[in-house]
Amino acid sequence: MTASFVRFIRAQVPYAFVPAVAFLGLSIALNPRILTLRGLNNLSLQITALILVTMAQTLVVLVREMDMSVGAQIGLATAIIGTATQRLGAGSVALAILAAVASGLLCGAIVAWLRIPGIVVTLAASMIVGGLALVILPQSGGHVPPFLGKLITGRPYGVPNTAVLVLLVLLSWKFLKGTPLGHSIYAVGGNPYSAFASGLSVPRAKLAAYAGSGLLAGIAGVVVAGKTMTGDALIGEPYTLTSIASTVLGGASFMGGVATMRGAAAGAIVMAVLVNIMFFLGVSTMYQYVVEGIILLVAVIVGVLNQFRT
Amino acid sequence: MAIAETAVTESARSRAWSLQGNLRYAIPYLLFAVCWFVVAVSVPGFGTIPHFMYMVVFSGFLGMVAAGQTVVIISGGIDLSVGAMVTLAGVTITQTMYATRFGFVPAVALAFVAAVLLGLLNGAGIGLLRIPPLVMTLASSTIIHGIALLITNGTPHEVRIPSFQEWVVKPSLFGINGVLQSWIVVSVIVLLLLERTVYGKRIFLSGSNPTAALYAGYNPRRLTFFVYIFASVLSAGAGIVSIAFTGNSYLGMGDAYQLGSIAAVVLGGTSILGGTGSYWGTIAGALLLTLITSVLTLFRVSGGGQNAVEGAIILVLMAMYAVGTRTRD
Repeated sequence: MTASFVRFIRAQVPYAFVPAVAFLGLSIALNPRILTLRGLNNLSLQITALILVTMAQTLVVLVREMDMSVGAQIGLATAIIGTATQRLGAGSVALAILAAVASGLLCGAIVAWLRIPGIVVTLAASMIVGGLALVILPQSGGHVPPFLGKLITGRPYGVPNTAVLVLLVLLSWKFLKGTPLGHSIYAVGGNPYSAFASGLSVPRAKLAAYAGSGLLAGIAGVVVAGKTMTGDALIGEPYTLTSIASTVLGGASFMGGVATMRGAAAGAIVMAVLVNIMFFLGVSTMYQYVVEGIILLVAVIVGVLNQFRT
Repeated sequence: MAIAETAVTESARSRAWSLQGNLRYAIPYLLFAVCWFVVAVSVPGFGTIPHFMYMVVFSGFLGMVAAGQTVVIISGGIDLSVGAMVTLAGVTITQTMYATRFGFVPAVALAFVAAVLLGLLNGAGIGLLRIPPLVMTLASSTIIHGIALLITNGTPHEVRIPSFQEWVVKPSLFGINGVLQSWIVVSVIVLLLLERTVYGKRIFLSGSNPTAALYAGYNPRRLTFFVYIFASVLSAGAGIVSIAFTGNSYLGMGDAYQLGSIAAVVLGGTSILGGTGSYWGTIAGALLLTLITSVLTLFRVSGGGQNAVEGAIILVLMAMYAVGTRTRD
C-alpha cells in the first residue's frame, strides 16, 4: 500500500515541489512574519505574476516552441492600463488583456503558418510590443483603476485574491487538458509528425498555445499593474528570462509534450522565493544581476540534466 | 568523408550561382540603394559623399558584431550575449587602464581573454549540456551585464588612448579610418572562412543538418565552441574600437547590438534556421539598418518607436524569406 502511495505521489507531485517547499521553509525561517495573514498575502502578491508568466511560457514550451515576448506583453498591458484608464475606466483592463492576446495570436499565426521558429518570431515581436509600450507610456506612471488595486491586493476571509486567481487558472487548465484542444497541444509537442499523421492540426495547436500564452501574460500584466498601481512599459523585461528558468525547473522539456501546470507553478515559486531569500540575506543589489544570471543557468542546467535522466 | 565534403562544396557552389541564391543576397543591397536614394532626395544633408562615408563607418561597429552573429546563426545557433560583450570589452579597457596602472595592450589582452571565456561558457552550455542557444546566451548575457555593472559601479568613463584613438578616427590608409580598416579585415576573414575553407563548409553543414554533420565525422562540440568564441571575440573587438571612436565607455553601450546584430543578419538574407546565408548579405543588412536608424533618429522617433520599427522589419523580412523559400519543400 505504501509503495503504491509513493508511486501515486511521484506521479502527481512534480519534482519542483521539493525545492519549492524547502525554499518557502527557509524564507519563513528567515522572516517568520510571512506566516501572518498579511505576510501570506504579500507573498502571494509577489509570486502570482511569475506563476502566470511561467504558465504562459510552459504552454508554448509544450508545443515545442518558446515565447520571448511574454515580458514585453506584461509591459504593454500595464502601459495600456496606465494610459487608457482615464478615458475607458475599467475597460482599460479588458483592452490590456485583449492587446496581449492579439500579440500572442499574431505570433502564433506567423509561427504556425509560415513555419518560422517561434523563438525568433517572438524575439522580433518583443521588440515591437515593448517598443509600442514605450511609445504609449514613455515614463512609468499613469492611472490604474482603484478597483483593480483593491481586487489584486484584497484578501477576503484571509484568502489572498491572487491565490484564488492562480487556483482558477489551474482548474481551467485541468478542464482544458481534457478537451480535444488540450490533447492536441500535448500530442503536437510530443511528436508533431505523428500528431499530423493522426489528423491533428499542428498549426491550430501552436496558434492556441501562443494565444493562451498571450492571455496569461496579459493577466500577469494586470496583476502587476494592480500590485504596483502604476503603468510601466519596462516592468515586464526580467520576466521573460525568469519564466524560462522556472518553466524548466517546473519539469517542462524543451523538446515539448512534457509539462504540467502545477509543476510550472512550483518552479515559479522556487524562483520568486529565491529572490526573496537573497534580499533577506542582504545580498547587495549590485550583485543581483550576476546572481540572478547564475541561478537561471543553474536552474536550466538542472532541468536539462533531469531530462536526460528520465 | 572526402566525398561528403565534395558534395557539400558542389551543392553550395551550385546554389550560390543559381538565380535564387544570388537574388537572396542582392535584395538587401537593392533595398539599401532604394532607401538611400529616397532619403538622399528627400532629406537635406543626406546623400553627400562625406555623409555616406560617415554612415559606412558607423555601420562598421554593427557590421563587426553581426559578422560573429552571422557565423553563429549559419551554424544553427544564436548569440544574444554579443551586446553585453561589447559593453564588457569597453568597460574592461577603461577600468584596467585607469583603476590599475596597466597600459593599453594588457587591457586589450584582458578584454579578449574575457571574450574567450564567455565563448567557452556559451560553448559549454550549448555544446556539452545542450541548453538551447537562445536561453544559454540570454543567461550569460545577464551575467556579463552584471559583471560590467560590478566593475564600473554604473558610472561612465572617458577614454584617453591618444595614439589608438587617432588611428581609429582619422583617415590613414587609402583615406579610410581605423573603424573601416578593421571592418574590412573582419569582413575578409569571415568571407574567407565561410566561403573558401572546409571549416566554413562544416559550419554550413552543421547548420543545415546536424545529424548529417555528425555522421560525416565532424566534431559538433568543437564547432560549437569555435563559433561562440569567434562571435564574442569579434564583439570585444568592436567594443574596443567603439570606445576609441566615441571617446567614452558606459554601461549599455552595447545594448543596441544584442538584437541589432540579429536584425542585420536576417535583413541580409541569412536563414534564421541556419545552414544558408552569406556575410555579403549581412554587410548590406548592417548598412540598411544603420540608415534606417539614423533616419528615425532624425525624425525624432523615440527609442521605443525605433525598436518597434526594427522588430517589424525583422518580422516582415523573415516572413518574406520564409514564403520565398517555401516552394523548395
